[in-house]
Amino acid sequence: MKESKLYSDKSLFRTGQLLNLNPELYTIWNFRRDILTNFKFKQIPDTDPLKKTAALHKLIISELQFVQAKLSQYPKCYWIWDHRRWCLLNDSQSDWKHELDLISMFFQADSRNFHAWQYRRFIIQCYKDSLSSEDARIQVDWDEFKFTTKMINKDISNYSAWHNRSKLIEKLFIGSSVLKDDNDVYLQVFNAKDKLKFLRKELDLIKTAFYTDPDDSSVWIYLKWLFGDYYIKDLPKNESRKLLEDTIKDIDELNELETEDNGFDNQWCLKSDLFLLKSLLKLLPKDDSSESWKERVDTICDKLIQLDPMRKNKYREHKLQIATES
Amino acid sequence: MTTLEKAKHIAYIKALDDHKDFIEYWMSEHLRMNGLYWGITALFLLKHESEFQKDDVIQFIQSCYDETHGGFGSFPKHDSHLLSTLSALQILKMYDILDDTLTSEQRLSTVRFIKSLQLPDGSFQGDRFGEVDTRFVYTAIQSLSILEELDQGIVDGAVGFILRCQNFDGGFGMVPGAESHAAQCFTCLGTLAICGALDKMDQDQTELLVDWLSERQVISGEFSGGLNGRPEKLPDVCYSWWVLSCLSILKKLDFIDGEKLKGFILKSQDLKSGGISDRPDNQVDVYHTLFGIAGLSLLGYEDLVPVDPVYCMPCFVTNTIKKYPY
Repeated sequence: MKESKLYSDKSLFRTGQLLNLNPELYTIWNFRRDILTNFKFKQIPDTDPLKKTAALHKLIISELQFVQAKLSQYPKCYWIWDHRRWCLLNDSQSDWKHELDLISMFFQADSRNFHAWQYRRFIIQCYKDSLSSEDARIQVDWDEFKFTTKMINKDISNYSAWHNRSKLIEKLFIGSSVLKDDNDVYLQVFNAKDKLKFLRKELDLIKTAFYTDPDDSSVWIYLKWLFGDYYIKDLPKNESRKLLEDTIKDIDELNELETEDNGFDNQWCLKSDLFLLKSLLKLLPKDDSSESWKERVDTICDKLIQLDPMRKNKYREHKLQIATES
Repeated sequence: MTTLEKAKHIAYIKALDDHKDFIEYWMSEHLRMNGLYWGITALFLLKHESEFQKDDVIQFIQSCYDETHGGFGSFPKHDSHLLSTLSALQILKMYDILDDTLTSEQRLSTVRFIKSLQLPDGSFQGDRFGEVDTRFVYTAIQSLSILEELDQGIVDGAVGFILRCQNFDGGFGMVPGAESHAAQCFTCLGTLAICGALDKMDQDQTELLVDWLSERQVISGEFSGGLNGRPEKLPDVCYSWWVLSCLSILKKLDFIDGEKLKGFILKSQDLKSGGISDRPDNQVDVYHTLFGIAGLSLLGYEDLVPVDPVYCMPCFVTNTIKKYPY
């Protein structure tokens, strides 16, 4: 059928049967798209544009139902997700809100499914493209930002949500429009483009998160980003320094509690201290108290070599770096 | 420690092709060309490539050539796709029969097929239906590298796109905005390496990436020593390749514990019937068998052929590829 380009209802039915047996058959998905494009879409009469759009929409809806059934069975199959994207792009009346509800269903089963997360970003982009004002578009990013907060509050270990948050923050800091919502601190921060205030607020969230589960790596990796160039280069030096010192103090307090409980240091506290101390050293003038900070870095590396021997060579390299810099 | 059961793995791979009656065999048509590449590469690393009849392999690859679009499908009569095209070229390159097998017309239309899939933003779609993913950038760039057909326009576009896929944690995702994933780190670093553009990465970002990669080695639990693909996920033997190849490309292989990782891979062998699985005591498959063995090769396991971390083919093969810029 495929070779002879037999585009018919029977062929379409057959592709469905084959994909029910094995949804990985990408050639069959291709054939199915060819049948839809060259046969099913063309069957719709051209006479009335409005009727044509409605008929096409109806056709795509039934295709989406087929796709949804496949996705529920195989939520990690690339080809199925891709076919769904293709369907939506061929329909001028796609219902983006409906797609977001569908994604929430997938998150209930697996909140780290990276296909579902990527699909969500795609849907959000389509939805934004359908809006005519910049104000409305940035409002969508703001709602997405709040969605990541919700997902993180549900499970601080959801690294996919932390990742998405980082992307949305960048967008919200660029956006020129004024966000409207209730009296939300984050919203004021984005409207004012105030990275310092943002960091203070975000570090509160981080602190709650690392007290909730000090052994979860997601939060600690995210913390490093907050002290990277993206923020630090826009802040006055003394403010960066104060934030760094305060955060190191917070982490040390947590580590003391952890050490009391477990009898040994918390690795992630030490790893984060190491990163923050190195950032601090970059900010400090050479003649300042930097020597004592360097000694701390060295001590932390020694502890980590003991506690995390799998990565001992990494800590040795840090030690060497610090030694050669002085 | 258990040793690598070479003879059993060779027998396991050899037997894969003898099961043509099984339903599983027909159910895996969609990745037969990839499967053949996985099996043959494993045999090359085990110095037993002659276990497969070269003529049969040539015949199969020829039968997968797509007359309509150029390039190769995963199975006779299947549409060509970048994924199966790369596998076909890799197999031919390893057996050193590329020029004897492809007619000049086939070679030309394969190059045309690959180049036609590059999009204006520098990315590649896997086939004419528009799915974009850094996997396809890598497969296109490596394919063109094997054919020695890279050029500045293609390379600059691809490199630009790849750099836009780097995230807050230093890792890379499927497309700009997508979460970091170890396999995507491999496709992105591999692309940059082939294009001679590793130095285009920001240095702080590279440091974050190295840190993120080394943290993939899991400390606690029953799978200690194995590597995972994303934070807070279970280890899987295939990441012995995706993560390790990246660390090797960045010259930081010693940032994880190679001995512990060897232990994890060896524990995932089927000691009775050969083959390696994703985790100890699971069902084996040829994909994990290759990436387990390739990981061991990078770790310098005795009597394995050294593997090239960029191309996932033996170094003695990739040494013969003319490197870009020409």
